[in-house]
Amino acid sequence: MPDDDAPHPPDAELVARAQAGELSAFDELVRRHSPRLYALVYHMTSHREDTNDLLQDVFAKAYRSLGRFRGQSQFYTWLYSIATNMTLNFLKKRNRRARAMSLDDLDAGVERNEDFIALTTPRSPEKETSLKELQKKLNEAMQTLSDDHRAVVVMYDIQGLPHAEISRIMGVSEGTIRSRLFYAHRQLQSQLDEFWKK
Amino acid sequence: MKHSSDPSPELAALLRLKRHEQPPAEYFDEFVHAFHERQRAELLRVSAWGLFADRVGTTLLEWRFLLQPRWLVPAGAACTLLLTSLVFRQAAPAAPGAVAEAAPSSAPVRPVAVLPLPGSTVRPGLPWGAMPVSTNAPSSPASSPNGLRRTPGDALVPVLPSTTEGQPLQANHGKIIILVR
Repeated sequence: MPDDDAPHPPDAELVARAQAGELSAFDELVRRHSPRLYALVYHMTSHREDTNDLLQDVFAKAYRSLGRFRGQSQFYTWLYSIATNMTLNFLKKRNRRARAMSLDDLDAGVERNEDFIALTTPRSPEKETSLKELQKKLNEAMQTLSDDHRAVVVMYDIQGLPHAEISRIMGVSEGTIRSRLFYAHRQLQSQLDEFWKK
Repeated sequence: MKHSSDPSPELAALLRLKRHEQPPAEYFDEFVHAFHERQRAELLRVSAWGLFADRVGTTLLEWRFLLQPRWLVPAGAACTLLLTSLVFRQAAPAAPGAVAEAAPSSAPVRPVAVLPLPGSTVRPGLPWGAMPVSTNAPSSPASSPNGLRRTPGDALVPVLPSTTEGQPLQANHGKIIILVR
């Protein structure tokens, strides 16, 4: 998950430097992990402004707590734990202000994505409209999941994290993660069944 | 590897498509600057209490593995043991005084051997052998050293502890009551 095999310094080295007071090292950690954390928080809140504020809070808290990070887990696991916890707390307090998202929110790279191609082939206006409706329906279905179930779906299905990693991030057993996924998928599936049949 | 909890291929593809719901790259460049500004502003307004609460929250996050079922039972047992030991430790200082107060009534008793004095008879039917006499009981001047005293009929009866002078207690062992006046 972290790009440790890239020419960039590994997380552990940046963390050590940041703990020693090197601010630029922490900035690098922010740059490295903010896109994935953004996706995590955004898919849990479905709100861009809330996501932006929460992401700032997450990194601020991580910076304040950095001195007590002992490297018992990977840095991104620790960061994900903070982000997940803060977002779940936020969602408990917040009145659900779910915004329906559309494919307009997708970035330009989606045109080359094999899932997008598979779902819209053969290309036709009807097919793309159907996909937009499907995406809208999926977003609505996601909002009907409990916060905990949605968090697991976001991490597993959207972000591709393995069960064991999600278990460490959320502080529950792998069995609980599998169980939550099972029920979340069943719920999503049942709500989208009408569209699959079309 | 396919898991039983995996969604259908169509749902999985639809969910993977959401990876593309990302803001443009410029957003993340700007994000770091915004974060710096926020940190500077925060330094001016965060209270000591806020920092403390923040640290406690993060520490609890690190210890939340104790809430997993496999840790819950040992942790619960440890807490119970700790609480029990605390309760006993608090109760311990009061114990010596309580023992000192209870000592007179809980003093060891020894059975008194029935030794008829020369020229005397033992009144039949009295449960002499079973009648214990407290060593702490106040002994009257008329009593013998072994806790017995002579009655007008030359029989020996045990000296019973009395509440007030001349008003002995009644020793009721189910069948016989001895009153000595």
